[in-house]
Amino acid sequence: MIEILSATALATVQDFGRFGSLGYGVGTSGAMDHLALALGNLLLGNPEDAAAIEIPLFPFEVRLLQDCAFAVTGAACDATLDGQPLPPNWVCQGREGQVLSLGYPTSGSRAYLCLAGGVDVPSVLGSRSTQLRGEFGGLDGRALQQGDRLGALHPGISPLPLDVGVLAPGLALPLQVDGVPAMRVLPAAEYERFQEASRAAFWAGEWKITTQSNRYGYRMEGQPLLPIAPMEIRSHGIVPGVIQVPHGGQPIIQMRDAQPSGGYPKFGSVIEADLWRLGQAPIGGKVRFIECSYLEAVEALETNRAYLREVSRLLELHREGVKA
Amino acid sequence: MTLEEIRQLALWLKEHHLAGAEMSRPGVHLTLKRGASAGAVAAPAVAVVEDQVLRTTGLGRLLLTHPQLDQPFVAVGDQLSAGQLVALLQVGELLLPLRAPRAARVVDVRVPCGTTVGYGEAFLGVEYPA
Repeated sequence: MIEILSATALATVQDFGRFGSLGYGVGTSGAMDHLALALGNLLLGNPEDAAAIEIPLFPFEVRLLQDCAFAVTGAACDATLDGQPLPPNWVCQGREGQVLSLGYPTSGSRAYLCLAGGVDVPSVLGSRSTQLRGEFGGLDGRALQQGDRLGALHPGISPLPLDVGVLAPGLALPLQVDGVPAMRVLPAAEYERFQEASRAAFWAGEWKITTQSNRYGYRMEGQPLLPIAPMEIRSHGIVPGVIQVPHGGQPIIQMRDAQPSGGYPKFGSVIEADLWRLGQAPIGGKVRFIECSYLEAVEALETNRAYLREVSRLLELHREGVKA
Repeated sequence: MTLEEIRQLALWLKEHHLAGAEMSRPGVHLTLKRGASAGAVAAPAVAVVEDQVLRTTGLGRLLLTHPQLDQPFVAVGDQLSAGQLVALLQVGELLLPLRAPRAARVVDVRVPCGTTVGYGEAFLGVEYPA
């Protein structure tokens, strides 16, 4: 059991997301950085998709009300446990009464606090993720508040050797163009109906993540994307990653809390394997886009999975080594 | 007997195609077997002479600064508390901690950040309080 001490807004309980309910108008939700969530869970010996607390604003502080192993992954945010520094992407055995503090990130923008066994909230429609729009899932369907208490499924002293870290996904799987974080994008249905100059500018230019960006979507700022002729399209299904272009030409990238339908023309889609990169890109920061094919998108997913498998294998070896 | 001497013995065994060697001295019993599986030989309890250095606890890449941070864990002159993190050993994607066993002062840094190290290499000179 932990208690939220800080009044910092917008921290939510998230797992990989709620799949299979788009047909009922229920979006997927889920962690903005799947890799960070999976790493935290691997470090604790949890299933990769166990629920954790996603923290987008800092400082953030919790008190452990009982012994509990925990991991902090994602953004490097000056974490301390009772004042002792805790390295980024690290797992350790927490003791009753200790206070975990997370400061402002020096790299990345979202931290994940994973607990042994996962955060114990009810599963709704197959997921523990907070569905903010529908006000269900997570803790009472809302963001965490000061004084909230959350349990772990496996509190107490962990049987595993802890006190170990992992190399951040951003370092293990780097992707940049001219020193700017990059994401791969698949051209989408209306791509060909944009002017050639706009299409070229999309790939060649830098895009700023504006302050109107959150778990629902990122509003980007750059050279406007102009259609060859105005488009009026009926609303249709959309998923996280889809890049829509409203009138005015400044694109919106749908993120994990995206609604399941929309009517703006679709320019492209950030591939599933790179959505975590966008999830960690700070507001006000610049990003670049790299055109990719469907096959490359599938390969990228496999690269992510291979990275997690390798971490998992090394952790197993480490645990065997400590036992011996 | 030092690790360097044991490494030298292992090298001689290899050069002369010998299967193994066994030697005893007061307080030390050493068994070397070429090609034996690592787990086959139980490590005997060894009386360790405490020297004024911190040693690596395994093979890997020694990191004196966390790859996501700018500041090294420790600098010469720092007072270390027991259990303080002083360096990391990177093994693939894993980062293993190297911690001060007890309070000490950092005297010198003996291995540059990023060096591939073996087991038991002295990487930090320290001074324990008298």
